[in-house]
Amino acid sequence: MNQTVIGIFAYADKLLSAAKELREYGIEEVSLLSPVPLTEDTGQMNGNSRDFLRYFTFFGGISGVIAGTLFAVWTSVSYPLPRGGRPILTGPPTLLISFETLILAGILATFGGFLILTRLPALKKRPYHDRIGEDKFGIVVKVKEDKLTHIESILVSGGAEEVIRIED
Amino acid sequence: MSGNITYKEINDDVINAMTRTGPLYYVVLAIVSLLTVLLFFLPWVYQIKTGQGVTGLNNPSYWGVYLVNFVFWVGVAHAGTLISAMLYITHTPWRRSVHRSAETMTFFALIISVFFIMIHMGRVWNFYWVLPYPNQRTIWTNFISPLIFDVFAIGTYFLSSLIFLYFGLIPDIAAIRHRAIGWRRKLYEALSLGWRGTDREWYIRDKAYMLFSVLIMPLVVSVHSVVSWDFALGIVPGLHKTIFAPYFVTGALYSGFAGVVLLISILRRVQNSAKYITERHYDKIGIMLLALSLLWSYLTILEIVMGLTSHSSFELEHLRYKLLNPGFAGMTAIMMFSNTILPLSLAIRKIRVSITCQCIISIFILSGMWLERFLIFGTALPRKFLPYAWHDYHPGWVEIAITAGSFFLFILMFMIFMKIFPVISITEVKEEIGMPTERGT
Amino acid sequence: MSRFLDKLFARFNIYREPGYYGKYDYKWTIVIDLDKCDGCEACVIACHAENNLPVVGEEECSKNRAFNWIRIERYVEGEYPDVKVKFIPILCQQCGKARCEVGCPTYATYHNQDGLNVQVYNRCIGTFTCATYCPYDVRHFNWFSYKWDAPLEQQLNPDVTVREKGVMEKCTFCIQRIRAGKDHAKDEGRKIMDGEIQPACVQTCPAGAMTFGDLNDPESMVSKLAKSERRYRLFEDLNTDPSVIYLKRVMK
Repeated sequence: MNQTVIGIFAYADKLLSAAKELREYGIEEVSLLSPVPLTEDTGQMNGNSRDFLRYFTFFGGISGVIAGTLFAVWTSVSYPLPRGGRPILTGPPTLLISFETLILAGILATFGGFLILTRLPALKKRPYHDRIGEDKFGIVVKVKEDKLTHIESILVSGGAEEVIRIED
Repeated sequence: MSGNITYKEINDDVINAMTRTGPLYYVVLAIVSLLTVLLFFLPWVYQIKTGQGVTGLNNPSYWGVYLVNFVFWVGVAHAGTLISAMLYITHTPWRRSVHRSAETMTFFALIISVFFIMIHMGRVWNFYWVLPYPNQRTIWTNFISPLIFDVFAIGTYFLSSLIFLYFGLIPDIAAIRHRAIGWRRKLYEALSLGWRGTDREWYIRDKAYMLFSVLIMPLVVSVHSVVSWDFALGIVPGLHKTIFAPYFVTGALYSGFAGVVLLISILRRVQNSAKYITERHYDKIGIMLLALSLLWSYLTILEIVMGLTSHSSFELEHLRYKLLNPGFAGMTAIMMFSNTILPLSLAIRKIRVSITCQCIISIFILSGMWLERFLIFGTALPRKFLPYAWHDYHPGWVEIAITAGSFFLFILMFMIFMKIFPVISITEVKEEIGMPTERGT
Repeated sequence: MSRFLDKLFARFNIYREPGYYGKYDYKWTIVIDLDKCDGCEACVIACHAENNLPVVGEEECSKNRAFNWIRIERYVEGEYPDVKVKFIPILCQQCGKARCEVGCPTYATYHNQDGLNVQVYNRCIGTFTCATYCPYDVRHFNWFSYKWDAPLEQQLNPDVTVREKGVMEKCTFCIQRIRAGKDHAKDEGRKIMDGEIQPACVQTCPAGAMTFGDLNDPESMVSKLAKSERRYRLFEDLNTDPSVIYLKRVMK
């Protein structure tokens, strides 16, 4: 049986040392909740899968350029109407439209990638404590029943103000 | 900002600013709403019913105050993105308390500029024909028209600034949602998407913010260049200049920063956020205003000098009209005073950190920039090529009313926004204070 | 595969040709002899009658919103009694490289296969870009929905639309007459003969100052008149390639 535990801390350095202790104890899935981004190398915690965002932007941008160029070229060619003594396929306007769609698709793809990678919006309620939004920090661990008391003691000795068990 | 502010204090201050509303707020809101409806929407409906003849537009002067307002509001919209995006890339610390209000200013200014595009059209009910979508008219839009560049550029900018604004708001709404009750609670819980602040979420958010900033920066430059090419791609003597793209972009940033100064001064007073918006902010924004003022003055003088050395009799006639005709010469003088001479006083530090002085200078700058755009249109179009067709342009009452109404609309939108969403960026201010450790922050 | 690529490149080259010139059947031109024009403005009235132009009234005219698709510009030099007046009728020059066509976002003005710069009233949404870009100021806007009191609406030309407010319009070289002429010629299986079609202004001019025809046809009157030494076009250095050729005035 898995049990989710949150430890609430008031100070960030205590949080980080408690997290290191838990990792040394052998638990991998340690989530840190905080009201501000933590500045240490928490990024390295869960592997390289976190750097995917730039691929979203890149492929979004490429598809944006292709879409914009296709727009300008294909629509002018489907219904060619002479205007202004200028050729049907023009250089600068096509470039400009492609640039705008590049940015548009890039931004939409980045936002979509953000939502996908952070698995937001959260449809089911996830472990959280209300004071995290204000000034408290938290560690969320999911442990088996037998290790529960040991984890709780690590948290309390690490400086947690409260340790809460969350029912799944 | 002093390091003695605690995290909880920031939350409490922001929530108090949003929830503590006295009767004065409601009175001002009622007056502003009434003025918006009376001055903006009712004249517009009258114009749609009667036709564009109620304006002061005439045969050569087909573009008047409406496009001046359009360019003005798109210009004001640019500084918000500059503050959020460019200053994020350069890791400037003083951006943190002001960037949310600047981004909001961008978004609302863009809404108003889209309104002005619709207001200046002759047949507004067919407005959607400029959008490229497959239709049974068997026609697409004309992609070499600068107005279609406009549709793409302003549409992209609108969506991008909306996403940018919302994206920055997610952690802030998550920080205040537990204190909300009723409809606000539901709104915040829906909008914050269940943000918890895990390390993974923060990491990806920071990466995404940097990517957004990098993408939006070239967009800002291109949007106002595209707006300037609306005018520069015609062969009208005063408008057909290659300097227009950098000139307009500089003017946009300039007027936008002045708008930001006014906005944060008003917010500082109304929301009692004096400890978040300090002298340091005014100092730095003052230096930016001074730099932009010098750049703008250089480009203006360059434009005039290029016209004088152009050997084109049409261009010289336009310049003569702009600089020597009594009415327009006065306007040019006011414009040069407000935009070039007065901001030179920002070189003195005492003036820069004084809030009243900066507000007065900003009001002058905003009026000067509005006059600059009015001078561009009001002098170029009445003196086009054929002398028989020359005719002056005088704005009608509808145009003046809608211009005034647009400012009230902006104030109305902002007043409603500042009571629903946090105007100071909670998480970024907390970041600036530093993390609470046992020995202190 | 290479045949496909060749065809693709051939199409590409057609589309890259400035003006897409292969499409035009005729090249309608008006030659105006300024020696013969005496500024009587009969052409203006004929245009009003033919194309359902409204009479906008004195107040609108004072705001320079007069509705004349063709106007006689008068340039007065000198003081009485040594006054010299020059007249020049200005109508839409039907430019080959029209600036107005570049600006319209909805293709409401484009170059049709007659080589004319046409205005499609149904597509116009009134952005004023074409009118601002026009160097000759020949475009007019329907500021209101103009009304004709009874019984004046009975003299409206049924071949021509009555425009509502918010739409741009300009001289069309009486395209309704050109179309009727083309249909008639197609029925008889021939091309249009020189002099068969005349726009209202050309037809009415009492001094015979205006001539209309196809410049592509070397035998037509306009081709012969266009070779005159007095010929010039308005604002040629703006590169708009106008289709109206003026013959300079020589008489004092």
